[in-house]
Parts: sequence; C-alpha cells; structure tokens
Amino acid sequence: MLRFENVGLRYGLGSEIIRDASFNIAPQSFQFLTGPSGAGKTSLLRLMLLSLKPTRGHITIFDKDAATLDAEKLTGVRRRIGVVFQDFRLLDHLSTYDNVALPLLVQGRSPNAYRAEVVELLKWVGLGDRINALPAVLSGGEKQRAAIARALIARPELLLADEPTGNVDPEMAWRLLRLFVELHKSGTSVVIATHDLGLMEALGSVRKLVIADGHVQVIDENET
Amino acid sequence: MSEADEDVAVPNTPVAALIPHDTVSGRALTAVIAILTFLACLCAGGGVLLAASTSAWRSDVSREITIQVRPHAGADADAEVNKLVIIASASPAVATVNAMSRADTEKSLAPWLGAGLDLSQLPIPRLVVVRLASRDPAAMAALRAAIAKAAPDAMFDDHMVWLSHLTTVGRYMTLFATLLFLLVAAAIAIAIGFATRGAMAGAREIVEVLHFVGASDRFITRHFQRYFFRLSAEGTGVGGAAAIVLFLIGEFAAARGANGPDGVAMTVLIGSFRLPLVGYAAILGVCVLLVAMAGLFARIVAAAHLRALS
Repeated sequence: MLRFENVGLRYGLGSEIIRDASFNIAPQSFQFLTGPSGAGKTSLLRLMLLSLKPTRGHITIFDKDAATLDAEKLTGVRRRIGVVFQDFRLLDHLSTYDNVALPLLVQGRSPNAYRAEVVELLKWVGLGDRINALPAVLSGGEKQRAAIARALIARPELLLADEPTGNVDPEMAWRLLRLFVELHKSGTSVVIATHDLGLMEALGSVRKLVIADGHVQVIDENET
Repeated sequence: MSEADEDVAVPNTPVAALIPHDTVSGRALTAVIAILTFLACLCAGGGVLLAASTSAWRSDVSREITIQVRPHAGADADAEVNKLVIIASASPAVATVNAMSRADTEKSLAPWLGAGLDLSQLPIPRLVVVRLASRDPAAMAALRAAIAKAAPDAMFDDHMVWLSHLTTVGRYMTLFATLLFLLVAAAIAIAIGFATRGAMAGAREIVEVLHFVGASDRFITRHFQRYFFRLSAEGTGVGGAAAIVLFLIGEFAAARGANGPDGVAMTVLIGSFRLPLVGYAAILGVCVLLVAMAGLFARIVAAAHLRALS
C-alpha cells in the first residue's frame, strides 16, 4: 500500500531530519508511529500524505510512484487517505457538520445523500449536539473529535492520525482508539503518531515505527 | 428523512460557503467593482447617447439642402427665388421646398444684428430650404445642374462638408467612449486578478485543507470563481443600477427644463438628453460582461496560483 525506500528529508539547507527511512505499510495493517517530541513524526506523516516531497529516496503509494503523480492522480490518491492533523485544521467559517462532510462534498456527492451518514458519525464521536457549532466555540477535545470524524467519513483505505488523542480525556481517548481499531478491522490501514505509551500499551503487541535521530526503526513483535 | 435527522437541525446547503464571503477585503472589492462598473456604464450609456445624437444630427442635415440666392443690383430676387422653387419642386429627390421671404430672412438675422433695425437697404441673400425625399445621386446631380443653369450665381449647399465633419467628430467621440470603457474593464480585470491572488494567499489554509481532503484543483478553482462571481455580481449590480438611475434623473431633468431658454439652447446644441432603450440594454450588457469577465479572470488566476503551489 505504502512503501518508503531510503527516503531522506531536509528543510532548506538544514541537516536531514529523516534519513534512509525504509518501511512498508501493508493493507489492513495497524501501527503506531512513535518517538520523542521533535523527532520528525509529523514530517514523516506529511511525507506519507504526499504533502512534502522527499529530498531523496523513493515513495510508492497504492502501487504508484509518488514522484510521477500529476495533480489529478494526487487528488485520487488523497481521496483514499484520511488524515487527522495535530492542530485539527478545521475550517473556522464552516460548522462542525460542514467540516466533517467536506471530504464527501469534494468528491461531488450530493448533500442529501450523505446527511444521515455524517450525522450518525458525529453522534458516534459525541458531537451530536454540536452539529451546527463553529470550531471557534468547540473545546480542544471536540475539535479533535470533529477532525477525526472528517478523516473517517469517506472510509479511507489509509488513515494517518497525528496525536489523535492528545486533547481528549482518557475515556474519550480509549473510545477513539476503539474507533480506529474498528476501522482497521473493516479494512483500513491505520498509522497513529503518538508518544502516549499508555495508548500503545492498551493494544498490546502492535507494530510500531519508531523514529529517533532521523532513523525509522520498525518493531513488529508479531513478525518474529 | 432518516432517523438521524429527526432530532438535530442540519444545515441544508454547506456548498456555497467554502470561501468565506463576508470579509473586509470582499466588501472593499465589491465597492471597487461597483465604482468601476458605474464608470464603465456611464461610458457605454454616454457612447450610445452620443451616437444617437450624432445620428439625429446627420439625419437632419443630410435630409436638407440650402440654395442661397445672392443679391445683385437690379436683379429681381423674388423672381429668381420663385424660379428655383419651381425647378426644385420638379425634382424627384425633393419632398418639400420652402422659400424664406425677405421678412423671414431679416427676422432670422435679428439675434446677431439686433431687433428694430431697418435692413431694407442691406443686400441680404435669400434662402431656399429644400427638404429631400431621398439622396439619390443621379437626381441630386440633375438638381444641382438645373439650378446652376437657371441661376449661375446661386449657391447650392448640400451640407456634405459639415456632414463629413460631424461624422468624423461622432466617430472620434464614440471611439473615445469605447477606449474609456476598455480602460475601465482592464482596471476591473487587474483588480480582480490582484484580489484573487490576495484571497488565495489569505485562504491558504483553506486551500491546503481542501487539497488534503481530496479536493481537485478544478473544484477549488470553481469555488473561488463562484466567490468572485458573486462579489462582482453584487458590485456590478450596484454600479449598473446607479448609472441607470443617473441617466433617468438626467432625462427627467432635461425633460423638465426642455421648454426654458437653457433647455432650448441645449436641445439645439446637443439634441435631446434621452437614452434610447438600446442604451439601457448596453448598460445591462456591460454589467453581464463585467461579471463574466471577473469570473473568468478569477478562474484563470486561481488555476495559475494552484499550479504554482503544486
């Protein structure tokens, strides 16, 4: 599904923050991306999302060479990926409902066709009573859940989540984690960037991509 | 309606508002477009008014010729005038012939020479005003030849020189109005171009999020185009309506003062201030054109901006 081969990334003329990263994200897999703060987790996620171009190496996504994707194909690839940003990236002038419905809207689906689906998901993430609220009046946790709902609504094949439980209480964190697991069971590959050890331990022996000093190490107890 | 919709109020149309509308820059741009549209509509309406006036002048002048009988010592001017009236009336190109009497001629000189003067001793030329039914060249040439033969000293003036000057002036003024309109249209295009760039830079995060959720460049461009289309429709609506109101006020004022001395003088000089229907149609056409142009420019600039981003 997603393959990194000797990928390196540097910003401007600085030193490489990701060096020789080589790993696979298999279809229907579940993994955490972890490492200390500032290690490059978000940059690695952005490389996976193809919002950054690697300074060297090779990325293959959905059997396509990322370097040769034109704008149209890139759009097609992104429609198969759901993403939860650390800073939520909700559009401030749109209601919670409109923010969550955005991925379906840009696919050209009729609002009437997806209304029930969006409302149902919003209720599931506990935002049933905040449907018409603007992001400015949502709490951090509510924004987080709205961002997660937006990432899930189009049933992506690959979900990238950057600290998705960073702003919610443990109970909601556990609930959201269960949502990711359910999504994974229904066939979506999930990558969750986190440095929350409790969250990782909660799921037992899950595959981990550990980034430190620019190097990515894959730890998969199930493989050995 | 599904069960999910029953206990929550869900907005019906989220589609239109992907780019926030009610912003300071949006309102400023609407005002700029309104002002520029107002000027463009004045140019268009003024051009039509001018074209209508010069056409009326040309029509009046071209339908008339004047024969001037110069006074000679011992000559019978009345007899010569009568002879010319008979010759002119016989021409198939002529509709009516009006020989001005000496009294009428003296009266027509009063504004320049003053009233109450005894002009009987002055050698005053006599005028025969011929209203044409057509400007058939052969009939006109025959009329000119017949008048030259009957009265060699009479001056035949078909006003062609004046008509030619009038046509040239009218053409230049119409050209000037067109040029002004094009300049205003170019100013609107530039304003829209800069505003689109500014709006896209300001909405960078929106564009980024739209890209991440799978929006195509075409989708984003369409929404920016829709945004500027709406802004320019509001602006041109206000500008065009203001121009129409101004022309209507002008018409009303001209009609009210038409019988006064100033009104008569204005009517003689520039014709009636009455924008024909085609003028109002031109104003509407200008508004539609400017809205379409604004939408097109927004689309081009937005597409170029997205290409540069990628």
